[in-house]
Amino acid sequence: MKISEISSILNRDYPMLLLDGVTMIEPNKKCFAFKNLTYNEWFFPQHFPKKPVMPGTIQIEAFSQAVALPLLMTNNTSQDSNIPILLAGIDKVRFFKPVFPGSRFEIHSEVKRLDLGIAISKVTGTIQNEIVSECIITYKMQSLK
Amino acid sequence: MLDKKKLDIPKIMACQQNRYPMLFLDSVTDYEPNKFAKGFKLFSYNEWYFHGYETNSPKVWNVIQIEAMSQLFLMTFLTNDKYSGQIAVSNKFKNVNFFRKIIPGEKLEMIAFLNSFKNGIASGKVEGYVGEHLACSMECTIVLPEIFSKNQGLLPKSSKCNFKKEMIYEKKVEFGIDQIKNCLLNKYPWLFIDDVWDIDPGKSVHAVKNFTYNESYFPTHFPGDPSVPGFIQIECCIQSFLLSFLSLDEYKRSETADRLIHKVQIQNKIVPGDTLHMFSKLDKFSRGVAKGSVNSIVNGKEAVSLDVTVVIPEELKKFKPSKK
Repeated sequence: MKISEISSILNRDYPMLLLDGVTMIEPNKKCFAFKNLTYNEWFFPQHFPKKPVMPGTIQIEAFSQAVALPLLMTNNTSQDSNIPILLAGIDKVRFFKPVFPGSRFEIHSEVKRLDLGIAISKVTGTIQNEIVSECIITYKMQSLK
Repeated sequence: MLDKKKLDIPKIMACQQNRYPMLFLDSVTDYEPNKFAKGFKLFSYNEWYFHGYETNSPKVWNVIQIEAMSQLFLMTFLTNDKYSGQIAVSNKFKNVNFFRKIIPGEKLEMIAFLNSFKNGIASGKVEGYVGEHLACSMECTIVLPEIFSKNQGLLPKSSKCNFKKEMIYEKKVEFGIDQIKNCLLNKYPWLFIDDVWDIDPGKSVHAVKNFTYNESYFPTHFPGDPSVPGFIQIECCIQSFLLSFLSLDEYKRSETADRLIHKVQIQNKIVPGDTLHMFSKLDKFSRGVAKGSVNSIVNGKEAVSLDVTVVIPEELKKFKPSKK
């Protein structure tokens, strides 16, 4: 999947597009995405000046994009400005290890439940097969209302 | 077994003066002072320079690869405690080859060898790999001005310059930023031409770039002593060269790719407020392959000069034998 496709499906662009590639995707089911972390990104120099660490909130934003991707893929033909899905909740956020520049951040998202216009999915972030953070993200699908 | 010597970002920043947004090295995985260094750079779409070109398939600029390679090359001698933390400026690049396109999400692994280092002049060779494939390679010479100025007066001058220095320039054509944008796909923050003073499509271009302190690279390159990074100077020249054939009607706004940059000489420091005059000449242009050279002048003195080969991949495709 090309970066320009990810950008148009998510309707996002620099500097808020926090995925670089997708290795596997099943619409409405799951998505394996990754993000390369390089020091040459806007959040590293200030967070923190002497010791660059990826902010946890940025990780959550990357997670939410990896969840939105399989949910939005099915209706990617509609190019209207309405956002068809909205973030409804983020639960059980855990950060196990700090994330440093120079690593490849892999995100596995899996939709656990999808009915009544609510999608609940479990997301984990790994670096070299070691889990560094996880959370549960809930999206409200407006188109199914 | 000995542990490989590793350097992370804070340690890299202790060794060299490059800072965000101009630090293109994420980790050094192994090194031996005065001999070699190994390291890598990850490319992410969340970097500023991907967003200066109107395209559906963003790629890593070749000058960014040059800069990443030279920053790793710096680590071969700046890891030596004696020189650690000094300012280094690029001087010459030779045989800079690019073999494949690098896209965001890929990892460029590099290895640099130091061939000689004396009087503050370092020269050596760098290669970059994506996976197993060779992606880019170059030979480079880098100067440590602090040590160099103790030993000699000025940077070596070349006799390559083939235009009169006393020439008084005048603006001969009205070819402003709108027309430049009609020819090039580049846009802010990756458009390094301000005006064109003379143009003969398919032959030559005289382009102008004004440098102002309000550009992203000056505050960090370097604090208290701003100057234009070498790779930005190279990119300015390449963009003015692109204009020489992208101003032809049938090629306007085509996507291009640089294949070879050769004999790059950076001879003068350019500071904010300077105006760079670039003279590019198209020597050969056929089947989507353009060859030529660029000379430039700043304040009446030679600045950067280079030979370059650029291709238009779409055009080149037409001449490739089709597989049947």
